[in-house]
Amino acid sequence: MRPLDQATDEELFRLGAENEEAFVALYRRHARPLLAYYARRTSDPELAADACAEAFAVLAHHVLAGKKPPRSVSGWLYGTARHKVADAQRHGYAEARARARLGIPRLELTDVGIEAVHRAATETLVTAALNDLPKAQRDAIEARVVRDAPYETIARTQDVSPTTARQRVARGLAKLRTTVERPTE
Amino acid sequence: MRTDDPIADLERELVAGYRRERARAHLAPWRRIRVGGPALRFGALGVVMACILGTVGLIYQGEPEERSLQAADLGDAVPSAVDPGAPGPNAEPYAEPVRFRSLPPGWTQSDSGSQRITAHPGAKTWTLVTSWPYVENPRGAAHVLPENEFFMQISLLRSQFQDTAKGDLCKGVAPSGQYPNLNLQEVSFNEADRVDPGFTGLPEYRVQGSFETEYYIEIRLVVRELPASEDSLAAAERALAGLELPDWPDRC
Repeated sequence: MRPLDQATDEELFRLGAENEEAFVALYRRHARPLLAYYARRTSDPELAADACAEAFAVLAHHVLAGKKPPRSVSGWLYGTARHKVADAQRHGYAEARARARLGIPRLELTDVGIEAVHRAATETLVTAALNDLPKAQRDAIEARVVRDAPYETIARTQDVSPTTARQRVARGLAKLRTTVERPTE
Repeated sequence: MRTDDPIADLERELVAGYRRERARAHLAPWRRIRVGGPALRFGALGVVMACILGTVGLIYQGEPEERSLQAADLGDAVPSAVDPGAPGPNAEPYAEPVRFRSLPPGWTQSDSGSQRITAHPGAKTWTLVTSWPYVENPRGAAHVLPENEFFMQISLLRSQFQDTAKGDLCKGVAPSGQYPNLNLQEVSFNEADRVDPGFTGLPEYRVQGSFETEYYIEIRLVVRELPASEDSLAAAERALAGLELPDWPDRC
């Protein structure tokens, strides 16, 4: 049998009815990006945390009830959280019915908690933006920013002139900055 | 619960909830019983559906007069079943939210829109009324509630609760001790339950009941502090008296 971290979402969903670790694996796979996405989208870490908590509580009910997995677990989670956010924007609070049934208290974020959500949002965004860059730019940024390599070394590794290496780093960073500063639609 | 690390804390709480729910499911094994193979289950489902459709059809023939009696019980709050413009018997089974026919100047109302009724989980609609010119914002009405103002949320639910018998939510709701018949003309917030903090983090008055077996009604009056002024409570009660209760279909 494959380890859980290699299982598909659908497999984890099915296994989760009897296997707690499978449910936890499903949570760990999606919790951070989901929270980060809604924190960026709403600019409200607490609302994002509420919506995510409710979405996962509903997921837990579906998993434990032995329901058929949705076609895309990830799409289902984002859709459910979107509904919770929309409800909260109209009512003034996020629905907590599923959480109440599981006995999960509302999470109130401390300043540190709010900062953690903001950090998760930014990191997720930067990682996604970095993955969108052309490989040469991504490698150049990694060498320069993470390993502090001189431009001459990067140029030798990539078989280009030091000026081109410098341009790749500068352009890649500019693109990352634009992505991070762009308001969420 | 205050948290520095929402992702880790939510995981811990979710796992605890998951274990509790699984333990409950094991205590009530009938919830997981599956009888026969897929073909047998499909055949049984067909027979049950045929019985339900037949029964609903029979009940429907005698329904309009019963509806008129219910309307009379509620005084001016006339359900749309007696409205000549109401949907006919072949209309799609949608649940409507309540609508206020008239509100004082400066008040606003918004609602969930129509919701399709299903056998499970039923349906839920809501209407939000604010006593000030509220403009929708991402954080909701509670975050911009002015001094001496309030908002009310009126939810209509066709749901199953723990103390209700398992019934067909297409047809209506089962009687529940928590939801006695409610006459909206007689709602008094002075006698209502007070919850502080309520769902929004602000104090609220709560009233709940049912409209016959058509749906449950939940009313939340959210204020800045308890007790709310007599003027506010009276204004909210007057608004409720102008409530237009919708007629929900008794079929899916």
